Amino acid sequence: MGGQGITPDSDGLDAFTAVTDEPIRLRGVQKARLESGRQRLALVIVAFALCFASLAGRLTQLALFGTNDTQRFAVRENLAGPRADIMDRNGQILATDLRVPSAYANPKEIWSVDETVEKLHSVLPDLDVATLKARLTADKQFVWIKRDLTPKEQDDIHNLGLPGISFENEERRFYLQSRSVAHVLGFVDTENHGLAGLERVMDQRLMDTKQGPLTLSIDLRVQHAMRDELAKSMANFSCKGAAGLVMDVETGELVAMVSLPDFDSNDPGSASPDARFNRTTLGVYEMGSTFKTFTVAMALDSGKVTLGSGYDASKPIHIGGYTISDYHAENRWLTVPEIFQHSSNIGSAKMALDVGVSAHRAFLSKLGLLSRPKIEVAEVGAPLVPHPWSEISTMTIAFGHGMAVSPVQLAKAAGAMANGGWLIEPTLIKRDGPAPRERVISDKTSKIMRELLREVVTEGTGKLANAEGYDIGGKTGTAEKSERHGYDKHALLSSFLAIFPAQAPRYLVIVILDEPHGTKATYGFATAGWTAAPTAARVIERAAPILQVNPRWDGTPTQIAAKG
Amino acid sequence: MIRLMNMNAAFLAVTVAVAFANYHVKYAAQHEAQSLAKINKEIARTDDRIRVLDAEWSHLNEPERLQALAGRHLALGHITASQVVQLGDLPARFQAADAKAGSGVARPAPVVPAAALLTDDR
Repeated sequence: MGGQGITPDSDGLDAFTAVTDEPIRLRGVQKARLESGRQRLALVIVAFALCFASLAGRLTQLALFGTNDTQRFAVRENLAGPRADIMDRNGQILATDLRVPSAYANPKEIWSVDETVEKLHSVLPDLDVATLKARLTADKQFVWIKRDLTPKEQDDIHNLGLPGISFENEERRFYLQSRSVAHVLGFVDTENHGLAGLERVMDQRLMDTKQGPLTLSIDLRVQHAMRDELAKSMANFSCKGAAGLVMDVETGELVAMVSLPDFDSNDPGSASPDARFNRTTLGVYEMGSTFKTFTVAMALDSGKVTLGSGYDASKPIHIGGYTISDYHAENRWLTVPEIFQHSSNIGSAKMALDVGVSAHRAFLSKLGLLSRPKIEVAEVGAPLVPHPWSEISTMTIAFGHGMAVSPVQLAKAAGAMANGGWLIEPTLIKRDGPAPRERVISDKTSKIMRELLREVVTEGTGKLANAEGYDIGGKTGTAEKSERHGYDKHALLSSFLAIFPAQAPRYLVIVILDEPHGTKATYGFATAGWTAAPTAARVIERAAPILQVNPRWDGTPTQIAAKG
Repeated sequence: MIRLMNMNAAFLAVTVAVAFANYHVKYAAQHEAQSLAKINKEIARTDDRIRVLDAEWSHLNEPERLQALAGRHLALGHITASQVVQLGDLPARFQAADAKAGSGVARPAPVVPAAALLTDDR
């Protein structure tokens, strides 16, 4: 059928009457316009298709491969973060974090402040009504009501059904051994930041929980034995305070470190400043005759003095208005071992002068006695050293007066005397590998010192420290505490420095009693031989089986059979 | 024309089916995510309880507490040096006494004293 297309040059009437089923063909400008319209439409379609395609592609990618989004937790500054546990060397937990609920309120969501305050007060009677009301009417969205709730308190508050009150779980530090390791650990504030002791020094390490728990060198059982015996002696001799430590001489690890009086780390606020004063690291004291250990070791090591040498101790020394005399003077010529055994001040002073003032000072500096020690607690005291260092200084320091050091410094230096001549830095953290050390005296000198220390206990002033089977060696030190107007003859600092077993020492024990008073059992004497020495012996008797140091037998089997 | 309608119908059917499948998978995934969250919460709660028990165990093992309890309930004192023996310190077993005691009777194996087991021979 030949249809007639509508063309501009045909008759209009004809076009209306014709019915065709031929496609409409456009020519010319109209066609161009339609074409461009089509093109634009195609463009838009393509653009949208691209957008949807990319969306679909991204969705597919997400569905198949996931995302690497690191989760970010909203941290509010006033919430306590988790903290690593602290354990003793055997895995006993000393300090840990537990999640406890705390109640807070959103003042904007509270309906009736008075009703809320009244109901809360009925459940938590020790909350102050006025401050609570002030908090609940504050223009904030978060106010604490009470932190560290017991489970019962949480239930009671929950059951009140008050709007605007919610709970937040916080990590709170609990010290499981209350007093035993108080001075070692220190304590934290409400935001779990360390304020004192180890908690403060190791704050960054403890906040990094990914490193796991922190293991100390402390052995809780030995720590308790030391604390128990110190407490008994402190009560027995009515002392102002006491300090004690047990150190492994081969590794420098402090197995026990006790200072009395002490406090409860869970409640440090209620402790007096004296109780929070760490006598082992912060307190510096004139140690008295325990310093003779260093004088004799120095003299022997320098070669200027031998065991056969001796000094005239028959007359007191008068120098610069001071008098140096001996307690229980022998009033005769004394050999070097006798000077040590009888603890002669005169002999020690002369011995130190023989070595020389500058050599003496250099030796003590080498032992770390003249500088502040490094230990992992925040409370560390610097030693008191005389300025200027004169001949008199050398003479008095030779027998432990005129210079004040802390017990932990004494332990570091004395350890080197006992372990073969190696100076090792004491530490509170468990040491797994070998400790960095430097040689300060010869092995031979150390051997001689060990024998001399043993003789003090078998024959000299330390007889009450001679616990059977443990071969304890040591040196007593009874220092008169210097008050502002000279030396107070009645205030003593009695100390005992012990090593065991003396032939091959593994541990060093220091016991210091601050201002002991004699009892009937000690015939009124408060000197170290009567007070600190027996305390140290009892600590060693309790600690040795724990530390796997076996007592030595003479070797006769019948001895055992007889005791059986 | 019919072919076009069929294609449309087919596409519609596919779309509806895909939509159903999509929502099904979505809800199934949501359900799984919820169970996972619940289990994780349970794990965290159990972990907390373990920590509390660990803390309580250490607290109960406080030497001061054990010493007080031992003092109250047990008649034990401190170990003295004479109570610690090493295996090498013991006398040799005497054969003569055994031979006299019972001939022909089976003898039990030598018993190691408990004290020797407790010490480390260092």
